[in-house]
Amino acid sequence: MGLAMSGATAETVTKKNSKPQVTSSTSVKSGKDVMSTSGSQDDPGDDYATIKHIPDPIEPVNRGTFWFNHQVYHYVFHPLVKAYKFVFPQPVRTGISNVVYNAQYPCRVINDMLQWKPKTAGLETEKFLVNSTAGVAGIFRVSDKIPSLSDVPSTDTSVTFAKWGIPNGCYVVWPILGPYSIRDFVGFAADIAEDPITWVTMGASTFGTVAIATTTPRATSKGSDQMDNYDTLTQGSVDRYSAVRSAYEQNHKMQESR
Amino acid sequence: MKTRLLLPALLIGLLPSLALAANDAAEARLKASVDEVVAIVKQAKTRDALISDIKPPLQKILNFGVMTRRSIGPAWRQLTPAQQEEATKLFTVLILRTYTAKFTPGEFPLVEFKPSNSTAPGREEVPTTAMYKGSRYNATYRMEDQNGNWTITDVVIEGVSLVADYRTQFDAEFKRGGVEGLLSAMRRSVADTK
Repeated sequence: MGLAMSGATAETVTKKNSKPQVTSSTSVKSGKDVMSTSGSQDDPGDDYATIKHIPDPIEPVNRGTFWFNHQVYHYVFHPLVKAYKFVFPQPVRTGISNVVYNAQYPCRVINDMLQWKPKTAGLETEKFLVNSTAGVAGIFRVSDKIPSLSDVPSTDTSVTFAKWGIPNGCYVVWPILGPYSIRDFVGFAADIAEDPITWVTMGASTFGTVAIATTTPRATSKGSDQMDNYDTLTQGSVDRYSAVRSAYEQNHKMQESR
Repeated sequence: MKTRLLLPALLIGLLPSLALAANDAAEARLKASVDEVVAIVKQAKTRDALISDIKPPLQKILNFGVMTRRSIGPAWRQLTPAQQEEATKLFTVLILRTYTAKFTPGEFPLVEFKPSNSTAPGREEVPTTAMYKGSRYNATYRMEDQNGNWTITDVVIEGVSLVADYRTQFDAEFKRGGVEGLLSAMRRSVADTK
């Protein structure tokens, strides 16, 4: 989610900046990569020129959708997440979240290969095997205890598209789903298609309950995590909309750089 | 054989240790601060006690002056000294409140420190991973040496810089309503305690 005032110049700067940096997971790089504003001349530590690397030409519309989403989150999702948290204590929620993450292994490994990262794909496979066996079908993420497997960078189709040089397109706040650039929205749809939980659901769609049983944990667990992130970002914010947009951009820049 | 290897080994051994001196100081300062915070969270009985106990160590290590100035960015110079002071105060309240609200008594993060790297003389980035409430986060602390005292000037969580995130927001407010618009937006956020 990743700061100079002029959108056009900032775009070119970010492109130069897209090479992976090994040493840090920060998306805001040291001074030379980012265009400095007048504010930074007397402060060498200020390298936060405001870069809008995803253009936002439909901001008024986005702000409208964002407002709508906020109401839905506040009045519908929040109570749901609260109920979910009440019924399932933290260790159970972590277990559910781990199972869902583990089951989405194909999505990550397919994209590691599409990005030609065989080493990461290998580590991802090792992680999947360890968590599926010793971690009892992924309930316990035992791989966190193994140094070589504790920090395998997770990837998805959006990152693959970014690596292939497909531009972001503009920033869009989608109803309910929240912010995705056009590219990432297509990536998001592909991720769902690559997700075994979807396959099971499609196969089971004739039996309504099975479909609900397979999709609900994914949606609830992901929704609950995302709701926590949304709260962290917006509580204490001055302008919710900009806070979320900046965070989205910075986080994506980081994922693309590793 | 042994002696022949000794000198180069000594030289090689010495060089990084000289270069590491600054890193060590920043990292040591951060570690001490994290330990202090974790100790408070561990023994706190109530949420209110936790919040009031946790503030002094946070205020010592977080450099609110620098964070406010950089979050506001180029607009900072258009603020009068009195306005700058007010902005810093408001920002401090906002950050402390948001940060302390994240902690629950007895639930503390397990923080793992990775080797820090220097971005410029007197500036360090200390990458860490934190396990908290079942999730794993990458958090990088950007630290600066202010007359021998290392302070945190930014926290980057999963690629999201706190200062950069506020810069985007303050920019939007400043463009919309100038200095007064910016300050009143900050006042509004501070007043909004829910």
